[in-house]
Amino acid sequence: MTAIDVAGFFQGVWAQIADAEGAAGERSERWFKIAGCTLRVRFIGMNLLKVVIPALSHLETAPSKLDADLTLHCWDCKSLGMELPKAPVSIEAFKPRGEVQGLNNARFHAAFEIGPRLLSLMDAHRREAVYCVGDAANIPRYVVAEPIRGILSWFMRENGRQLLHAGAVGTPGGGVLLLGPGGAGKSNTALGCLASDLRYASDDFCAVSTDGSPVVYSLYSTGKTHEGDWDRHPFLAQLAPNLDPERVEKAIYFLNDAAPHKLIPSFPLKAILFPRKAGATCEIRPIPAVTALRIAAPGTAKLLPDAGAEVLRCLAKLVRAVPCYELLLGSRPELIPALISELLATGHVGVL
Amino acid sequence: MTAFRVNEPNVVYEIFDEEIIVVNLDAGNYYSISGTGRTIWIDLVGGCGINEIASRIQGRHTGEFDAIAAAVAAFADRLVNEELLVRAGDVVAWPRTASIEQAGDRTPFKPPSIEKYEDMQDLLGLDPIHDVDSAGWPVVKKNAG
Repeated sequence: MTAIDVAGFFQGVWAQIADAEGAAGERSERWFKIAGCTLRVRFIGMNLLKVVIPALSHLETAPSKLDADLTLHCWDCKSLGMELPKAPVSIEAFKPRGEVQGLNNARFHAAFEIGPRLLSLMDAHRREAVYCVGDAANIPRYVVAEPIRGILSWFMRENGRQLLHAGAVGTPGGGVLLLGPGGAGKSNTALGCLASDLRYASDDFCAVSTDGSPVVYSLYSTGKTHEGDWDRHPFLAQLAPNLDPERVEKAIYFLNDAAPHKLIPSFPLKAILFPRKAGATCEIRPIPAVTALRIAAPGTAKLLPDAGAEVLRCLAKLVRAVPCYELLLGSRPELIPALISELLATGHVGVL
Repeated sequence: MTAFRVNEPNVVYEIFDEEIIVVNLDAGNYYSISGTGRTIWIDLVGGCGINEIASRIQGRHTGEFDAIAAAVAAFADRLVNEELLVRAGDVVAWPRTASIEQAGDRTPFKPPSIEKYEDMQDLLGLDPIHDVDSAGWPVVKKNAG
């Protein structure tokens, strides 16, 4: 097998930034504070602003005179009349979660999402990343709800945080993670809490730090549910959802526009809940840490390129650090926020 | 006598009081190991050979040495076949006559078992059919359905 010149490939990509800048008529720069880390995003051409900004707008901050922890260069190839950088690997190198085998090591990270043709690259030493899109017109709705996820995953890991596939709700005093397989009820539970005193950090992906007492950080201010879920949470229909024209994919809520006062940027983690659609009553039951990890395991490595082992280790730390519970969703979802609030306030588990 | 090591970086594991969770990230399987399997896994990844582990087990459980050693060897073979462990050369020979302190309340030895879960495979094992474009990046085959 021929050795891949990873550094040479990345060198070529940095050179393409200048080409993109030369081809672009307009540029824009935006700054974000994500889990305490500074992200500077340079838009080369304006087509990706509407992709990257909406879900992260709640974390936008003023430009800093200090260096950013990461500078991300974004461009849309088609509108600039450019091609993606030439791939330095053969087809066998492309893995299901998006990893590009041979281009990932302690310093360099690369992922490619085949359908929408999204190339994500990061050089940890340079603290620079590239988000290069084949054609912005083909970007799916789920990407707008959770943009630059691979880059955020690497960025967080470089800074001692870990992206998790989890919902998160709480108060400044503390909150819970909502973990479990797809379809278990994480999104509906998190979004259902918008009608309570609990505040919203995530319905799908958030970041956590596990040095010392664990802390949960909001990444995206978006949420997603099917329109059918409005039967259980009617107020969701009032949140100006972005609907799939074909009514197949989930509706997307941009909560920084619709309910900014309900968002929370971070909170100390007090408990982990595993929602399950079962039972006539809403109930919280303790489960052992090992059971929690066993439930969480199938979804852990999902969707995050080059992160499976780190996610598992992080989850193992979390389930040991805080109590874990099964959350039986019952038939009256409007009661769930009260159960969670009681757990957070008193440590007591209850039934409603 | 063969030694074993974890098949890193594809395999990660976490040890709990009653159980070990092992994940094979490449294959998309995860495993639960409890009972005698838990202590055998810890000893195997700690560099012990089959005979040493069998002797240690006799300190906690009743049973014929040869039968215990055969059960441990079969368990190690299963872990290797599942690509959770790899053989890692020889261990220093363990003297059969070495003294192992026996617990007063030894229980009968139960052969180790391992539970395998394959529900990660649809998340990790999926490999879509694709071609490459002129720049070498994969594209979904038009006839891939």
